[in-house]
Amino acid sequence: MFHGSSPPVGLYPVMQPTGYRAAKAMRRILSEPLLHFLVLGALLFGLSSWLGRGGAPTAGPERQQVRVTASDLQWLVESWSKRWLRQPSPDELRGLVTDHLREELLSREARILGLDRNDTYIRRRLAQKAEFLIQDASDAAEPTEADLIALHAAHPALFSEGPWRSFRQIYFAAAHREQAVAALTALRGGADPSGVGDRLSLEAAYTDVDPTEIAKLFGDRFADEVLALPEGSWHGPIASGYGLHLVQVQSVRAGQVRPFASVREQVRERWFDRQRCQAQERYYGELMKRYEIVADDAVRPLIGPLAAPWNPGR
Amino acid sequence: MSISLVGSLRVAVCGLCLLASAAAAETGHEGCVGNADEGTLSKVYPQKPGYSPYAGRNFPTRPLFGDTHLHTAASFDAGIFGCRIMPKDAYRLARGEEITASSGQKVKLSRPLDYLVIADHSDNMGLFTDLVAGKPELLANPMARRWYEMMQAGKGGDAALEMIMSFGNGTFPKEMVYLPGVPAYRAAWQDSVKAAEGANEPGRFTALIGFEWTSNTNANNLHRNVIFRGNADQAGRIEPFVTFKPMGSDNPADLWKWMAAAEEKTGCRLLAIAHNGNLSNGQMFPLVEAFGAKIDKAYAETRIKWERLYEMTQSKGTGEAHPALSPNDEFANFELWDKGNLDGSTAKTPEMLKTEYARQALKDGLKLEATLGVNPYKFGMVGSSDAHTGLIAVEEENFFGKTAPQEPSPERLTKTFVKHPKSGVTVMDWEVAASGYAAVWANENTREAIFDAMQRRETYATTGTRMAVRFFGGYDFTTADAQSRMPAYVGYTKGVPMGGDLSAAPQGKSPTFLVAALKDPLGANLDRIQVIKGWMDAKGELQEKIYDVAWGNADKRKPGADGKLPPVGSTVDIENATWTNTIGDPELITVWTDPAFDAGQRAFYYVRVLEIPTPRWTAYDAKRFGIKPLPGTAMSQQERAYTSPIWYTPTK
Repeated sequence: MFHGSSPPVGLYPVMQPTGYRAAKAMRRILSEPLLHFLVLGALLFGLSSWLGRGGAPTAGPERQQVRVTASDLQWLVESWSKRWLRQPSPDELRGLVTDHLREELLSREARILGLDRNDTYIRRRLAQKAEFLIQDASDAAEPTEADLIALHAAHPALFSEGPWRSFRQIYFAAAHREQAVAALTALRGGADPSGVGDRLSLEAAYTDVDPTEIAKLFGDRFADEVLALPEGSWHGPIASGYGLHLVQVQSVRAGQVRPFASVREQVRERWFDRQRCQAQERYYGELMKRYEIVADDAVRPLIGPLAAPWNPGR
Repeated sequence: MSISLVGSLRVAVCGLCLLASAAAAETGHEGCVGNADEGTLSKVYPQKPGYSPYAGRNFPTRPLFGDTHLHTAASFDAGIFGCRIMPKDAYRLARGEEITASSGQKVKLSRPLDYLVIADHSDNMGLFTDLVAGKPELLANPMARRWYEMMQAGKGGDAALEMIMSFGNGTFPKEMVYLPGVPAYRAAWQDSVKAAEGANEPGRFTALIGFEWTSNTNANNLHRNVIFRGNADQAGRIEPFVTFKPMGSDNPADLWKWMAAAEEKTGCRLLAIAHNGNLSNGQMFPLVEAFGAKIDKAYAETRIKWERLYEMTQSKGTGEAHPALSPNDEFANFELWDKGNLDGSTAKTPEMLKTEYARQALKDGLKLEATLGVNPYKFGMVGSSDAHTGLIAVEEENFFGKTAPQEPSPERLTKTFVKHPKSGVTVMDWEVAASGYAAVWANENTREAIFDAMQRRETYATTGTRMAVRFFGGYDFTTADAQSRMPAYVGYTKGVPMGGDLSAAPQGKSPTFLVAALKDPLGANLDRIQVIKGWMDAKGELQEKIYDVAWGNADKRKPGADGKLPPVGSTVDIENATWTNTIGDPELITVWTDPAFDAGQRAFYYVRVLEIPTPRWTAYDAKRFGIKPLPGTAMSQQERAYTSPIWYTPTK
């Protein structure tokens, strides 16, 4: 139904969590009437050739074995009870086993019919699986403490915080620039700030806020300007998304690199990220030893490095 | 409002330590715990604040903005459609870093968000949802045994290298792939909770643990996002509930049962947020029966216990109101997705609309409360993205689509999103909305504070803007309160905030509401604030009325003879995808009294705030890619916020 088009996501989340036996997308395909038709056709063919031989099953298609072991059952029970947070009843258990068998048979038939080929979603799913394997393998390596400390030291910008400001602000509507300027003179002369300016639902004073907080409240250009102000006297008018502000910076605290101990987890995350990127590069390197890419003339100039575009997030 | 009753001594001590840590309270870092309730505060502090402006303040001063519904490559459907972003990088983007999207483009938000819930689909989450019972015969494989022993000996790095090489040269043993205890096997849910733990930094950024339960029978959308209050340790004790039988169920009643059991097993609280009633073909807010069971008192109690919020705006449309249900609401026709169910396989019939939209459900809830004794639809409002790109990028000028193929490209203005061959239901890519956020009035930026604010419904939805909206209800607000420089203080002292309940009216008094909206500092001015009232009249009929209570350019704009306020106008230049803040106001604040109050009638009030018109993401695309949009494409909109209601219940 969706061959070649891009179906919306979240539409067919209806797949069994029985993972590795068949690609999940197969389930949808397996409910396709066409498949049912083909499978029935194949079964009918088998049946008719069985009947055609006068009832004796010996010359029909060879029967394949489908094993259902005790550990399969154990796995079914464990999966089920982890979801439902209780043990299955005998009826539920019977349903689980039947369901499991149905799926096993259908997935085998599907593969025999070659339904796993030429399917973008199955292909993509398998590629994703392989990629996860690489990630998992690279995650097997644990960093030493020295590794982490070195990473922290080499990239201070990634683990910094601040700078911080404490400041007071007085708001004026954009149309009241003259009043703002007059007020600035008065404030610098020692006038009392309370009651000055126009009403706005923002605080009159902020303590120890970093540029991100200031930007979230007033906008980033305002944040930049306040960061550039010296301590002490009133300044402005400074523009924000709301209008004009007179600002008095009361304390300045420089930014700093967060000590290793307080960001150890974040440093670890970064370390694993780098490992994964490197693992990917190594992996594709190995693959290229096994695969030769043969491209048509039109395609050849377009082939770039395999590892490069697929490091999203880096 | 979350009420933890505090003795006056504790309040006084709080007051003292608040004086000392007033700064901490303002920046959202640790202050005193607990909220003083209205009654206690009014005993200890007179209605006018004392000398110190900070004494007695233990309420949030800034809303926290986040998304309660993001998918990453760990959602099987997102992954299949090309999303490569895993939770780790999704958190990075939300925290303000620049990352590379699945399509290879760089992306960064205008400013960081405060929190994020990654809610990947529980069905087939990640890759390995197998919980394989250990198979000892696997260690009989010599390669497996060698790597296993290397890892046990602390030589994990070398083992990893060898494994990768062996993947690469095709010698990796097949049986090893699914061996638990060896890193090639992974429990997807454990991954998800670990990633949240890694991104969670109390006070700076909150990563709440969650998943999406994707009930989708007959493609009627009954999805819920489940959110945990606790940490990875706790959430890791269970596996998320799925929908596909027999491992799971598509019946919300079973989800609620599971949630009760999960709370016991994990030792932490859970809540669920449903969304896209507009794609449920009438199933979202049933009135009579659901899944063969009657809507009775037990149903209502259970539902409202677990589903305190509803996600009413997101990429697949906004579900507040519909013109067919609210013909007098000139703003009801907003980002509607009303053509059918989730995949368009069944077209919409008018009958279905009645049990799909939030406002109607809030009204129906009043009636059900009268007959059942409990209101199952007494929910607060949030917005979110439901993006399947791993990117919470819903700003109009920075919209990265709902799915990886919808990341910015010349095609997305003209491509089809859904087209069902039988029903003919068609949804175009341009109809996908760049929406929304869940704004939370939490005391601090932590899991517990955000979750608790959600539980008490002190939240509002936005369609992607970061305006700050306050809404308080009480009996003693006066017009002078709208002049206050600390309206929140007045609000919490004299009333209840959004999501709260108004007590029975004192004799002869009508409810008064203090409403304030402050524009997004990087966004557009405000057009107007509306209060939307729903009530059950004396005949038992459900009514609604919309009041314009405050508006920009009030010196030039007055309601006409028909009672309607003239539109604010538009400064949008569609061709250049620009606008100017020369109309509207940066802030609106007012005190409004219900002019038609009847103390014997159940009612709710919620606030809807509209910005002045701004370009829609489609206009930015048309300009940047030089593409002509299809006829009928929406090119501008008035972004808006919707608060949780305040309910009035008469005493019996």
